[in-house]
Amino acid sequence: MRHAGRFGQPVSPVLPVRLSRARPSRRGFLGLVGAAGAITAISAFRPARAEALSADEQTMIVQVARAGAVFPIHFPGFGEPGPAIARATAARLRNAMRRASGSRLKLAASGARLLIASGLLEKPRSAQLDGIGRLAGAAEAAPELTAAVALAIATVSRHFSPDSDEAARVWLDGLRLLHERAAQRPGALAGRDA
Amino acid sequence: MLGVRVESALRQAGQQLFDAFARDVHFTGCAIGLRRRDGQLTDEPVVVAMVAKKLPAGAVSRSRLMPATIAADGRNWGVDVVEVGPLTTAPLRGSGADPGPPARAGELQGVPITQQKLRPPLQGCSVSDATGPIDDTGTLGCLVRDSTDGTICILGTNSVLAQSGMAALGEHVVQPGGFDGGTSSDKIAILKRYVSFTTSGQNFVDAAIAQLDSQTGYSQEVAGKLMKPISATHPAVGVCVAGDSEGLNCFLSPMSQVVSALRVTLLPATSESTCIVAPEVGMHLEKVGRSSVYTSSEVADIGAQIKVYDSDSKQTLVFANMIWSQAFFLPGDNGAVACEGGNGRTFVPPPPEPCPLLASVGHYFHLPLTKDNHVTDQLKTQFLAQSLVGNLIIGLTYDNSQTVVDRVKGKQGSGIEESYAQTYYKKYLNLVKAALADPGSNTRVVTEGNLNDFQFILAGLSGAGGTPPLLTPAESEALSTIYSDVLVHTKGMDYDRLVSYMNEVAVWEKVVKALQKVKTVELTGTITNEPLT
Repeated sequence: MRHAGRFGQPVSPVLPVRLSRARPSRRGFLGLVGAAGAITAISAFRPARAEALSADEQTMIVQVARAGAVFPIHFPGFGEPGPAIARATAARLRNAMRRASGSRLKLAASGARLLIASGLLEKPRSAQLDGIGRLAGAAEAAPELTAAVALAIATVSRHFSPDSDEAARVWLDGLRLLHERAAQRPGALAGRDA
Repeated sequence: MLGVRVESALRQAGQQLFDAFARDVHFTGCAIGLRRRDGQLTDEPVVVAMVAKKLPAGAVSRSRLMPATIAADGRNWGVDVVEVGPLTTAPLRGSGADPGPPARAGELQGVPITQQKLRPPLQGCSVSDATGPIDDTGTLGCLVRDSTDGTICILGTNSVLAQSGMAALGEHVVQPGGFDGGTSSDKIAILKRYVSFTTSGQNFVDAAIAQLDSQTGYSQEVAGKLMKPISATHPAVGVCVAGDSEGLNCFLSPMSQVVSALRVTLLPATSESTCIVAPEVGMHLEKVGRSSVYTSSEVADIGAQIKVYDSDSKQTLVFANMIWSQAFFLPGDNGAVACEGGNGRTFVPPPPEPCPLLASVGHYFHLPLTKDNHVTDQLKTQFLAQSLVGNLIIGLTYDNSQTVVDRVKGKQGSGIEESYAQTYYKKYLNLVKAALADPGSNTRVVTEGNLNDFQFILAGLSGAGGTPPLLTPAESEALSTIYSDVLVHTKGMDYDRLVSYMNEVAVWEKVVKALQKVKTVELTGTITNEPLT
């Protein structure tokens, strides 16, 4: 059965379906991602710059990573096995710190201090998420907060660079909107402490 | 057409009806004309009762029920009840219409001639009072001669040129109007005279004149030469005054009343001809106006008496002896002069039907997607229609839209879904608009961040956030396969490279193969029935 094009678009030639062509298998793709991860792991030989973040700051970043691993969704694998929350660890954070530039680490440390100063260390996850959403609405906090979140994301997934803002910005903007909603409808983040 | 005696009797009957129902907020006016059945005119003279919403007799209280007949001049006249929505004086302001984004001065591409700066200013172009709100913009009706001193003036309306009597005589009139980018430096005339509105009785015209700065360099041409200038053989019938926001019902002041009230004559008038003709039911009308540009309709009825909300004075005014036409002009055409002529069926475009798919998904995620119809149309015709995979996506969207509508029908996304949907919406609406506006740019490419976003969105739609999934497991698996087999290779591609890639048969086959495994997805379009291998 053949169908003409719709909506007045140019009608594409009707083509036979030939699906026997070779294509990379899904397993092959995952293998490629794994190889990329292995290459990334070479960076582990770079000296750790643990001193760039204090113990509390590192704890704060790991807690942000744990929140981000399950909120707003269970973080996709991006080629790594197991649940993302299992990867939100201090050891993985140190690995992510090795992959970050020096200036970026300083910014992330500043972001972690901002979160701590806002009383978010060791708080229930819903309070942390709402607090981060509140801070995300303050323009002056943006670069530090974004760098801290980017480091947390890089902790959960090696696929993400700690020097890249893009995913962190999306996560923070969603939290900002949720915080604004919560101000009108308390409880928007309820049930997120598990 | 109706005959003098019949018209006189119907006017009496109409006035009785108006007086009886004027205070009813649902009653919007009345007119005299011929009964319409199934959209067709019959030969029965009737009083036409206008109501905001036509309801079955059983659903209306007895006190508000329109009479079936009205007695006048010794005879019972029938009453035809029709829907005529709330009416406003029709500058852009207060009309409730979406006139689209304002044009910037000097930006001509895609801007109708009637909204551009024209020197000399021409009939049908955009004008406004310089000190009024920028959206209080209407149309330059035509040129007239002031009978009191012989000067050349532009004819417009009180509600546009004089802000419904709130502007002072001598205030500047600019062309184009403020909504179309006009500023004080675009002055063309000064407000000279207007007919004041009354709230205690009937108004017969919405009219004003402004004296042209240039008393020599004027032209009687129509903007864009979209119709012939006013003349004895192309006479003026009326001035566009009031209507509903969608242009379905439009009302005009008869030109003879306008020139009389303002003490002016039309510029081409001679001792032999005023260049004005009285309206008759069925007469063809044509006009050029700021918003709907050139249109042609016909006189539906005459002698209309209507209730009109004026957004400047925030008063409801009664206008009498108006010409009723349909699908003839839009907000912003206020002041346009209608002449006898045209084919009678070049109507204002109907309001776009909201796309059910965009409306449903927009409702679920609390996104204003229906306002982006023009972007999705552009995406479809300019980008998707240029490739095999793009046409496949168009067909998929069409074939499966009801499935999507049914899936989200009556549901509302969680606060988390709505918040992150808004975040992605902002990010990608701007990106798509920019890419479509500048397809030749090779600096805008698919990034790893874009691909990551696809993964996040797919996971969210698949239920990874703990909310009920919008996709079935098979649909999620198919999209995951398309990601790994097709999308992942688009990283770094610019617009042209992406179109080229989407035109590769092998790519198209991968997408088809992934989707054909999903029972819930209807896949037609450019697919043959040859068996897959």
